[in-house]
Amino acid sequence: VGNEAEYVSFDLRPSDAINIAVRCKVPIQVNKYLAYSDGMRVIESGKLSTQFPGMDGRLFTEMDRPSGQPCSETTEFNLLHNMLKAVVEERYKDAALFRDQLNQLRAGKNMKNRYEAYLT
Amino acid sequence: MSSVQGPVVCPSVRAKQVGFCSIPMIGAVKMNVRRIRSEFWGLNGAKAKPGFLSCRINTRKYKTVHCTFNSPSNDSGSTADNFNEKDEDYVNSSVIEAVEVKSGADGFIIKMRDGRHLRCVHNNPQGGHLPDYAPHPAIVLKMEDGTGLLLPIIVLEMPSVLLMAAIRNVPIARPTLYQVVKEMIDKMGYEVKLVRVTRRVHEAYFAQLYLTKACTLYTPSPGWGGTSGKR
Repeated sequence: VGNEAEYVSFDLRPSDAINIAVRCKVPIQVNKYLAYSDGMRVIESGKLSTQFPGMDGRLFTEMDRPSGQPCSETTEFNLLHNMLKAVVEERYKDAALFRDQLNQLRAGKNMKNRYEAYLT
Repeated sequence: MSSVQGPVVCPSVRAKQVGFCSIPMIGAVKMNVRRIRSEFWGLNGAKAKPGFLSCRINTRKYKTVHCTFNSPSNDSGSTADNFNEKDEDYVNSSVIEAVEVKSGADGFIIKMRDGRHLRCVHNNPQGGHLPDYAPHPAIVLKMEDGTGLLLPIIVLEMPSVLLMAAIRNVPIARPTLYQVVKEMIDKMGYEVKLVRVTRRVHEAYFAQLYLTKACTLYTPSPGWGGTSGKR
């Protein structure tokens, strides 16, 4: 009869060991002295207020000239503009049509963002 | 501020030591390989082997009295340290959803998955100043003993992404390395019991995976080895 108290242990990289532990739903333990010597304590939590200058420069250069490509923001803005104009001119049937198209566009955009978030 | 204490290794009663230390497999590399191989085929060692292993464990246990923490292993050719196996030396921890860590003029910053940033300081002031480095993907463990310490472990990008997917139960189309390993462990009749992050050597951390045999329904005979019978 096999001894149930016998353990078999393997040496792994921490990344592989922690991944297997999460998938098998078993506890993860850390050496106490290791945690004390290498551990970190949180002193502040929140949004980082400092901005990166490279990001600002890149944003400015990107927004300086039109790219000439049809973008979803322009389509959304045009739909919104047409809807509001139809409301002012009391063409309510056209306004409802534009509203449905706008909702469809926004729903599609949300799905696309979710898929992109999953890929990253 | 919690004080840092060195490990105290006290030899206790011999019988108690042997009984307690026989749980983990300690020994030379060849012994480990041989025993692991026999375990996989369902065979246990001969009657003489447990006694021999106990002697090895006993000898190793006495040797550790002269070791200090983070000292290299006495076993030549093996960089893994097996003497610090007591349960009270380990703290349960959980994985927090951290994406990357970086060290700079603002201090140590942990970027969470939801966009928050945690600014941290070193727990051990004598540990020295951390060098500045660019953002790296990391796995951050949070201690569950009440201290709230965080232990960041810098890893490659793929394990970090797969860990986030595992935490969020995101189904991935193709099987990953970890799913294959998990299925192999299940097929061979073992189950995962524990994962421990044991020590650090220079800049690399070491971890151990503990398995136990899950099936005890049959009695293996001496001539049973060599064939993989039904479970």
